[in-house]
Amino acid sequence: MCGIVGYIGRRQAARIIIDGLKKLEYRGYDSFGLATLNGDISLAKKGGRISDAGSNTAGLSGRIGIGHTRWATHGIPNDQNAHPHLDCTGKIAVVHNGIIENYAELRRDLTARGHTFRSDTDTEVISHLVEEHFQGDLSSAVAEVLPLLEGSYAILVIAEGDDRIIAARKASPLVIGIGDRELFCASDVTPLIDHTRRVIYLDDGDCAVLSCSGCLITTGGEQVSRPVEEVDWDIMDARKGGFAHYMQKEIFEQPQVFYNTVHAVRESPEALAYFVGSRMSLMIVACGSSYHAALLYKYLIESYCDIPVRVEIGSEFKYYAPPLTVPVIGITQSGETADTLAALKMAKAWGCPTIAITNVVGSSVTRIADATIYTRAGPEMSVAATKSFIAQLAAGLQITAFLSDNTALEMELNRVNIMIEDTLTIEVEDAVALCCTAQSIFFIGRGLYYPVALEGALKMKEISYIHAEGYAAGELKHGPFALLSPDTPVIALAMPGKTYPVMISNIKEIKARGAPVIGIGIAGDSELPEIVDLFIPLPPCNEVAGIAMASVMLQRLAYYVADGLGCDIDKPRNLAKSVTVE
Amino acid sequence: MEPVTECILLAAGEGKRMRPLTTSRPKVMIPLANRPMLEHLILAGKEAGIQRFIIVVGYGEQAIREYFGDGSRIGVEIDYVVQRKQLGTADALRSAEGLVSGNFLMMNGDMLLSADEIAEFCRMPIPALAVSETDHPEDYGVVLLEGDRVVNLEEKSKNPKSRLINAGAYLFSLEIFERIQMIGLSRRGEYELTDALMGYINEGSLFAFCLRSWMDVGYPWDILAAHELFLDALQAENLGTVEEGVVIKGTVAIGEGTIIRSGSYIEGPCIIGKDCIVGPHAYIRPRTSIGDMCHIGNAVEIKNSVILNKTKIPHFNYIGDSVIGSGCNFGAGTKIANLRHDYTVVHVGGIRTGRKKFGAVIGDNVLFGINCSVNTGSLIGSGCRIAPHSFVDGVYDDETIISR
Amino acid sequence: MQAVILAGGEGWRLRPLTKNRPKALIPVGNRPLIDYCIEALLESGIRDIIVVVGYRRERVIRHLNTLDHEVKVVVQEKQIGSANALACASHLIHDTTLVLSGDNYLDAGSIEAIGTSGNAIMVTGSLSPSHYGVVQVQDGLVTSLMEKPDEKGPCMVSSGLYLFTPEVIKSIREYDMSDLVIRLINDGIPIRAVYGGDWYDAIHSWDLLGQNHHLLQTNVSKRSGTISRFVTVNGRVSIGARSIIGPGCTITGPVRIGEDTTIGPNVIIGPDVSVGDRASIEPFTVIANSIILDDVCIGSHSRIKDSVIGEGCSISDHLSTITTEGFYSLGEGDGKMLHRGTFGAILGERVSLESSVVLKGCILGNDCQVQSGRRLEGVIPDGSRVI
Repeated sequence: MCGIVGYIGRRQAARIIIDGLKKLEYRGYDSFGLATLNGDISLAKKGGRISDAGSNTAGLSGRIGIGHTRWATHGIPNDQNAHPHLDCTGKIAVVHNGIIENYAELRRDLTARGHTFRSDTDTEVISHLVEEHFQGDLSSAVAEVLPLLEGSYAILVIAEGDDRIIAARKASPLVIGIGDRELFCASDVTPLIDHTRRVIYLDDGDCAVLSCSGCLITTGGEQVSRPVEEVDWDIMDARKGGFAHYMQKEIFEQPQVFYNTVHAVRESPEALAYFVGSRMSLMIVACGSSYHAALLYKYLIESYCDIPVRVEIGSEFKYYAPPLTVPVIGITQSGETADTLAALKMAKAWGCPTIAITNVVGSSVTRIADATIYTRAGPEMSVAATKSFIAQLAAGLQITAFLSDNTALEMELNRVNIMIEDTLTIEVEDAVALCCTAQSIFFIGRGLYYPVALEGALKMKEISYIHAEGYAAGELKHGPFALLSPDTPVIALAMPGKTYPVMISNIKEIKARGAPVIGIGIAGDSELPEIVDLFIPLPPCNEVAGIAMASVMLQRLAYYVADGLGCDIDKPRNLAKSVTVE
Repeated sequence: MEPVTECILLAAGEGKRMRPLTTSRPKVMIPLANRPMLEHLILAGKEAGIQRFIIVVGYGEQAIREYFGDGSRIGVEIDYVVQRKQLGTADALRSAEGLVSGNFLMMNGDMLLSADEIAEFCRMPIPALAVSETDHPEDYGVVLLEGDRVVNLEEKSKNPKSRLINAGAYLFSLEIFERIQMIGLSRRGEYELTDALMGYINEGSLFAFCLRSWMDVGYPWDILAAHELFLDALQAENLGTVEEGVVIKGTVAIGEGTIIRSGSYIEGPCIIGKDCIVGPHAYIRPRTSIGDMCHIGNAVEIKNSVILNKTKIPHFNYIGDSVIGSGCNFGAGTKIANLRHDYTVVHVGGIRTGRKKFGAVIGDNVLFGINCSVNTGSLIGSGCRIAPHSFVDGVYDDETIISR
Repeated sequence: MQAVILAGGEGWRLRPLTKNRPKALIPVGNRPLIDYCIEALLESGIRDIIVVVGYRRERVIRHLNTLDHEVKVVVQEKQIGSANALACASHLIHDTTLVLSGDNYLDAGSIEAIGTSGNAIMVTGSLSPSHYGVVQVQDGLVTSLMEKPDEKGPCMVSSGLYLFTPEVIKSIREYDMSDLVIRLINDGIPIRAVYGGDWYDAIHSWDLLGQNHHLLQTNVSKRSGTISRFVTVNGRVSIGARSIIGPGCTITGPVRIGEDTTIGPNVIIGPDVSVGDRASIEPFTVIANSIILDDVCIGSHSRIKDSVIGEGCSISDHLSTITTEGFYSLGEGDGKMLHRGTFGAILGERVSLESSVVLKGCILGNDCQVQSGRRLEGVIPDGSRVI
């Protein structure tokens, strides 16, 4: 989940690569570096963020170059471990996104053969391997090295004396942009769209040779042609405007996103038809926030449609999933989440129908799945998922309404956007003040509000760095009670419905152990405000609007807590937006 | 001095005033006399000695790239560069940096100019600006001259000090690329070439050249006027099949594969494209231009109109003084009115056309049911579907549906 | 030239419509008031635009982000006065600056009239000076300014459009604009008085109806969506994308209808009606001189005239509004006073009305619920249940 960029053409490469890397910073920001080729290779690399580094391109001349922004996997984030990595002679430079699983073994062998390693990364083995196989033709050297590598990679290689860039991918994304007398390549289209809208998405196992005369793609030694696709660049424009953070902007876009997604899903009957044949049962795989959305799907589809649903975490799926025959749904915002992709590929191999729910048109998952349902969240720039989660929820609710043929539910969905709108203006200052001083926070809910609690806890920990746990309210007394103290606030979702009375007694049990409770309920509730320390009233609503409103409320809480603590909200430490490694 | 052989053509804009004709093509690809505007300009440039064209593309670039390719079909060399955002003329020029090798011509892609004048302009000292005289200078920025030098450029105003306007054609040396690096965002938020020109003007080095044949096509109804020019210069030819009993008067050009069926009456000047079927009993009146693969059927009258490719006007229709996009289908009996009962100038969407006789502007792929009436001054967006027997009046967005 | 638009104030006299947005963001003619300001500025060639936001700022910023032209945004943390709001933008000011309030309507002519250098105030005649600053003018210069005086009767008032030099803006220590102007007068800094062109302000929620009438004059006819051929359209009517107008509807312009809205069959609308996005209006309903905001549902057989219906209201069948002149008590605590107005009904957000309700000069607060058959007048506070 690093970002890589390459350029070959009629302009100075360094400028273009630096601008491109800035656009890919969401994929990792531990360090960055670039190498340009102008007879010799010039190299510049550094720990830290490229956006903090200015735009100095001094000493980096040349019309060919590669660059990298890193999310550390092997080796700590520092200058030495920043890409590009050179071979022993300093004549070959490599950038890499992914993980070389057999790197330890390769490194041992290479060291034994006299190679000197300068970094702790897995990537550096590629530079040295290419050096060993290099006999004047860079492309054949790379082609010989690729079969030796196990794991995932998208790599770009340049070498002195060779006016080309060699690009290859396996299980990590790589896109080639076709300009006029110039070619670009990058981990996704965002760095390309300033220059061209014509792109080629490389497939797994592809190796591309980029030169001034064009782009030649081979797979397994055979030349292949991949379709040139056009990117709609208008949708890629994301300006933060006057918002302090992208996350805040995206939270406030949610009413429209919910509405758009409900209607988009309603108007894609082809993809929905895939669900109709699956009245027996369904399987959903997802990671992170998408996993929480999947849990909501389970509650919704099981209770409204009487269809059993199984939900699995993408990265665990392969370890215990028996061969299935039921339709498998993969939920991934970026469409590039490696674990979810791997799970869908497995399901496909078993012959299951596969359905993708994603936010990114043309992403890898759309190529794997038999059918795709798009959420209409628009580009999400903040690392913490907000509007993409609401969009996944909206899609799930519309799918539920469709499967249960529930027109009353469809009518309700038309009005959820107004309820979300209202949630955006409810004051949360006191709750924020209470959470800011906490070391640890519990989020509890029951039924549909259990996944909401899990998602609320995830938001809180990922951006505010406060330890937060989501629990099913009934589970708290089976252990976690031991952790309750006056310093561990509990955020309880006590919305009307059949879980309400039990929630009230759970909250009373917690209060008895001395923990402060922030209750999220409905305005006009007379009981809840009496027993909690702080009461956040949501406007009166039905069940489906309640899930959306409570989710939005917890996002806002996390946002303001993180803001109050001065955290880097859009780029939390150690995280990256789309996780393309397993 | 070396002759100028390279030309940068600005063709990145959509040309919003031409909507809905720009739904599926940029403005420069709108055909005049069955050839894209830009092709007329390139061919004129070629005749004037330009060998290499660099087209700055953006909106609808694919249509331009596919049509012209590398230029070999029309005997020139063509390169493309992309201007992603419309950040002004200087920004467009900047995107072409590194692709011209010496003194070069730069022109807006959406104007019409004769080959002789391009050749004459290219012999001017460098830098030079082409100007044109107009009788409505208040709609443009104007140019003030002293002798053959430009002494000032003035923004659009109600009382312009000159009748000469900037025609959008320039002759530059490579030095211009250094000058445009210098300029900042203008008040309009664009990088404007005029800011770079002011430097030359202050040095007294910008020459002016007055064009006589210049014409710009701003609104869809201007296409009709431009056509009059082209059709008056038309050469008659007949590459198709004309059945017995067809009457052809005046200059008429008929494309390959076209069949004119018996009983049709065609008054030139008129141009009919390739693979069309006209008639039987069609009445085509002067200054009509019909694209390729059109069908003009029985008892259809068409007058002073432009009809783009693949449009079908098959039975009992009247089309007068109108511009009709490609892929439309007219139901039997659907007609377009072209004259107001008060005999005043027709307005379209509140904008004066300057024509007492004007029908409608109709976008691409519009489907009419039978017996629709389209009122004079209507503008119908691309992809609209109109139910039978509808009365259509006013402005309709793309994809509007008039249901039963 | 630069411009600063002040859009931070709530505009409490417009409650309940300002619960979730400041006054500048209230849609009139289907577009927030601030859009007209920005449009007038762009039309006059001013592109360096700074918007000062405060109350419900996220809503304002979100809206500004959807506009084609990118503006700069500055936050005023506490709404303690318009001069203070302007001072919040002073670090971005380097040129003569036009200052306007985001909730007034001005045309490009007024902006051009005020000129491009020095200091100036646009003044205009008013019959109700109690809401404005009254100015005295001598030889084209402002000689005094008095904020919201008690006296009644026609006089010249400040219209809230100012021109200031960067030096003046950087010197601001005052909270109120009137204090700033008084100091400038005392310091002998000349302030020109410019007589303005088209200017319109809404003080109370019912004034929005007049503003709506005014702004719809510029409406451009344009149709979109799916419209039955049995719809009768007269005058300037614009219909947004994906909206559906059923057969038998009669729409008399000026009327502006938003996107994704469903109307009809057999609904009569106009003149002077704005209908927002995603609304639905059921058969046999008649609406005239009204503003219907986004996501509103109106049941069949209703008669709505001279009314403002807030976002997300849900109205069952047979609502009638009766237009009447009355005195309405607005404000809180000591600030509470009676205001005179003539209108049918003003509904806040998400008001829910059951069938056959009659509203006669009634302001219903946000989230009110009214049972069927009630007849209501006067001001009903937020969250009330009328049973």
